[in-house]
Amino acid sequence: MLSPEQALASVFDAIDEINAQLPDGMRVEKSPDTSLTGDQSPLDSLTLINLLVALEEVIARQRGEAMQLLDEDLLGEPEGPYSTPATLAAYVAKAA
Amino acid sequence: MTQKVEPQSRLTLISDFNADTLARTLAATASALDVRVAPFGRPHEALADCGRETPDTPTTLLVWTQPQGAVAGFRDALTFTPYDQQQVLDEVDAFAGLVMAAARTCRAVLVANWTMPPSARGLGPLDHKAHIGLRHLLMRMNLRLADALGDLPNVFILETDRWLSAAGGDAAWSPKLWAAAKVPFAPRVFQSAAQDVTATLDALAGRTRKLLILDLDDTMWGGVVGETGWEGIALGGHSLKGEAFLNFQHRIKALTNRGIVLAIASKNDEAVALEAISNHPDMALRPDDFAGWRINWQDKATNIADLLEDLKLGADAAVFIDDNPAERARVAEALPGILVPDWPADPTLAASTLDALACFDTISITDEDRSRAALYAAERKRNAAAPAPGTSPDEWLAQLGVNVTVTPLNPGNLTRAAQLFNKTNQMNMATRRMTADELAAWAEQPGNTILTFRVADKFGDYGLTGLLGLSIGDDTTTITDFLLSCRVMGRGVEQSMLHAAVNWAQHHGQDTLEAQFMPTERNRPCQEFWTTSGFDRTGDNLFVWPLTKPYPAPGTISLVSEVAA
Repeated sequence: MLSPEQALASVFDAIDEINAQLPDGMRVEKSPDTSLTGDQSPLDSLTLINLLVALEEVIARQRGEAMQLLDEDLLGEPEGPYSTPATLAAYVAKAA
Repeated sequence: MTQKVEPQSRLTLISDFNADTLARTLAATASALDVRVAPFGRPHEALADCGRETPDTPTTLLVWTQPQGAVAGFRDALTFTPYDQQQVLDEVDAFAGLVMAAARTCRAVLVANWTMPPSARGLGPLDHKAHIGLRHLLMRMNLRLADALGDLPNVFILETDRWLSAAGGDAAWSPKLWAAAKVPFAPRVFQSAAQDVTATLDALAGRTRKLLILDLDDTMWGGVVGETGWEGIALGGHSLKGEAFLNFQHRIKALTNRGIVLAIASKNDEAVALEAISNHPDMALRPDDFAGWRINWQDKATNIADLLEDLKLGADAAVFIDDNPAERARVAEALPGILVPDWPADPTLAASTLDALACFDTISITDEDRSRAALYAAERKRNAAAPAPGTSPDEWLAQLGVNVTVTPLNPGNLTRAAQLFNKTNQMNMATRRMTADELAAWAEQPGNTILTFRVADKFGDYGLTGLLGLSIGDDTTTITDFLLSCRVMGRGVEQSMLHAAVNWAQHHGQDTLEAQFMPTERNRPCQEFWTTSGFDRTGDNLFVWPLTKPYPAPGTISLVSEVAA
């Protein structure tokens, strides 16, 4: 079981991991409301995919749980579970 | 850590997979690098485009393909059907041909070798059998590619397996990222690759570390020699720690064979430490292996600064290894530019930590490199042989018996000349950087020549240490390049070079010889020489010599010219 707070911490850890691979100007702000999808998002689809795969690895490492978070159908939903770190954390907590 | 690369360097990635993650990681690793990605999935077409020179021709190419993406025959072999090895190798030759064509228009081409996941069993025990095994075929393909590209001085094959290993072997491959975005590898692979690529770009730009400075106690051997005497230190002797330190020393010794110079900075009693280095039966490194040392109780950063001044090297040419984190922090803080790697407390990890350092990467190894440690040892003895009281500088130089031999650029000295061209900073008038091919092409243009200078004295041979570029104009010959290894500065070689330049220009019927000094952050010693050279300073760092008069060679130098009259 993951609480929403724990899930959000894992999302931020995943953001740290992908930020380490991104140049200045492409890094993702670690805020619950950062837009991760849609036209307002600074992330392109590849960065979002990398973030979701990194989050799966973070959870596997921290919790020993294998989660399948990357769902192609959800990638195109601007208001879906991937839209912000907060919604993503809620999605993770619910799925865990 | 952001690494240095040449400003305005452009790198184009050519791949059969989505290389955007690599491009971003490279941009994060080396912020000065302009990274572009060719449309993925069409590596052959992208290479062919690079072979046709355009204004967008990249300065450097990185070609990273999966074997099945570059060679269709390998894709067939993946289905376990018998393959025609010759047909596959012909495809490799064709791919190599495209790389060669691209290399003619690029400054350098980096090619990642082909690999496949270690967990892929292929045909199991049959996998190394000819004409059926996948790994047998892959090894053949890599060898064929390396042989085809091996003679090109600006093409370098990079070790993909190292990147995959650093990312955790099988964990390096990401079937999920492949399915979602046509990215075959986990991001950690690209981080390792980016570090390797930037290290290679640094090597191309001549930013190779030349000096390894070592602590002694618990770094080069186990224990404190001042307390136990050399008989009590852990080195060799079939103990775990002793074997670990001895293995580390052997790896250090190996570095000297590729041109890395060694020095010591240790808080110790000098006589006690040198006794250990001289007398311990298992010591792999002896005093003659070191270009210099500071073994005393003074501040290490100050000692290292003194050492660097003695060796005429900048901090950015040096690496400092010490087991003590406080000493490492002090040196790193006091000497910006010096590389101070984190060092493992476990001595069994020391050798592999040293072997993993990318800072010694170089794009060529010359005879001068291989003998550099001996050159510096000779220099230490030279300095130790102090002139008798009352000896004038000229008398001392005459006693040294300096010989200078002038030779035009030729295929035998081209590699070393290009290396000198790209590595020399302090005594470099114009700081032009050119590859061996570019240098040779420039020298072949009508009116241009490159003269090289070999220097020796009674203590040893410095090798090829000076280089002049000369270009004939209507009445004026221009010294385009004037560079000299800092090892031979101040011995009259500089004046011998100008003597040779004046003679050459006079022989070609010119009226005037001029040189435009181009200041950089590093070449103030060169400017100081030019201002005292005797040339007239007629403009903003423009130095002129009328060719109606000779430029005398120093009387202390024996000058031999192999330049055709």
